[in-house]
Amino acid sequence: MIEFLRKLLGDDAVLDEPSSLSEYREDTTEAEPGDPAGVAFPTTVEHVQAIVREASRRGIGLVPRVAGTNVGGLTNPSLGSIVVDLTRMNRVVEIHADDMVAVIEPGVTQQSLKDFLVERDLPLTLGYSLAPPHTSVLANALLGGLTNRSLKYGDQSLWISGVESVLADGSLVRTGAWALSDIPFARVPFPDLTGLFVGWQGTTGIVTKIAFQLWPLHAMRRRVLLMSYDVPGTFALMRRLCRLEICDDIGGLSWPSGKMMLGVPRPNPVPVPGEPLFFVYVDFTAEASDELSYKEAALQRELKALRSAGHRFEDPLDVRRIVAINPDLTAFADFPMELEFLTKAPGGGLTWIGTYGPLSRITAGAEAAIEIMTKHGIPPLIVTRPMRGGHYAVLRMITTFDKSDPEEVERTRTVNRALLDDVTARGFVIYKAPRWAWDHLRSRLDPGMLELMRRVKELLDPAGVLNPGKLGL
Amino acid sequence: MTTHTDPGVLVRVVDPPNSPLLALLLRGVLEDRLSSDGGQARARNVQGTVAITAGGMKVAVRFDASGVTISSEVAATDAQVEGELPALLDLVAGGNVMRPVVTRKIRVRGNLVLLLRVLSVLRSGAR
Repeated sequence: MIEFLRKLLGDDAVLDEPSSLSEYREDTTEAEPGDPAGVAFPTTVEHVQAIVREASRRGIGLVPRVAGTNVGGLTNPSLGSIVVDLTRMNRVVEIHADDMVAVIEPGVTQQSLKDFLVERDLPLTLGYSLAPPHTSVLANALLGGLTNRSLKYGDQSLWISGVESVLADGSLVRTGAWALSDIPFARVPFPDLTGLFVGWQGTTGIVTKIAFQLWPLHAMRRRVLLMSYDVPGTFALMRRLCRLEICDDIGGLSWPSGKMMLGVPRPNPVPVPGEPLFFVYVDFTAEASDELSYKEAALQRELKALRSAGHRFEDPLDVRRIVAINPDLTAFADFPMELEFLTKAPGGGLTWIGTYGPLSRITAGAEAAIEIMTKHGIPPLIVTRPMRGGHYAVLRMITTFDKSDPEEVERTRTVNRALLDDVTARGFVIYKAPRWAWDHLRSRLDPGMLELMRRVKELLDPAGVLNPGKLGL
Repeated sequence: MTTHTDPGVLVRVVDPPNSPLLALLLRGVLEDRLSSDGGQARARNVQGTVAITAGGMKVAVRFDASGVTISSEVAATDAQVEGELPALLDLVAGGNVMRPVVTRKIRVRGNLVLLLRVLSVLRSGAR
């Protein structure tokens, strides 16, 4: 297979030396490392088609990957497989500005798409995930990740209006309106075959392009940060603001996040008495200052009502002011962000349990998560955000750990399982689910859905070469 | 954790993992301010301990020959400042000094000369 790849792509587009493969063996999580036979760097769809055809013929696994920052071991390769590194397929192929949709390849990053729009002075924006600038837009969208526009528009998979995917036999398919129209404006009105590639973690095809919806860029933007001193008050505020439909984004970060940004990698899991428990940031956009003022006044009105009900908040602070006071807090200011306090935490380990669930249960879920993490001596770093107008919310529990310390790795596994069990019992559902989580949840999943997933997988990948072992398939 | 700020003044937080957020916020502010010659000169001119209370958090900031030490142990202090965190941050950012004091958003007690000198350090080079 390596010889085939060299012939197809050239020597500089194939890796097979053990030393060069090490970075492809694992990600930052506690997931078991893999052992690939090589890495291929295709630059065209035809390359991907040829690779898939050959791999299917030989029965060799293929693991599609871009940045490898999914925090779930989703690109940890199976034994003897080939990692298909798609970073060199990095073109914005089309932009339909009036229809607010772009056709992008897997290697298009958050930063490169932002730059593309800025350089052309297009009044459009994308949502940014809580991930570094070099991460793939396509990968986050296919995996159903969230962004700072998810309050309005839901998780990013909903913004995919069509895909181009290489199937296991090397053939190519385009889905959505794109199957007929030159402008890939929506997934409807045909049968939604796009769903065959969304959330499947690369096990049904290697997606080589997506049609990706963009959103209007408004003239004025304000981000405020306010500190909340109790967990129920934090989420009561989120729920109230959702119903007003005035915010572009509402996010909540628990107290360890601030301390980690301020240079304490492992704060005490128990908060110091009297300090705020959540940082809530609220984004407003507007076309005129009076529109912005109206929205800010509405926030003040909601805070007043909640204070009357006994909840305690500091007044909102303009994030630009905070950053001017303390540059260490720049990560709060703009997206995409480097997040070095997470990605470069001591010991190199970074993992999470990321779930979507009902906003009605997020207070209890967050309180339980804080208790579980604290009990295990882990700073309860929690990220929350209402999504799609408040129809659901993200509840994500993040742990940094020392990958070289077996005891700490085991403790991390234990905590993640405990968190998964707890939030699952509350009706929350894990996204970007690692293999272990699928195995752990299998007995609780609807058997009909599992069987249908198996049949779809068999239909689309009969030789089982596409990201083998993921999704428990 | 001890941090060297160029050129040579130390800003130290006692026991950072167990310190309140306020202590860490102040460390960042002071490190930023003391990175300039003006901030350095102002800091050398300060001797004494100020208690700062914001929200429910309380810290002591001591200026002496060894530099600046921020601690959550607040015992004997020469001056005290108390207020809501946004009001204090606004003051540090260069906002009006008198208005929050007059409106009691910020309350001060003790050695006012010391307080003004500390404020001068915190506002030096404010953007």
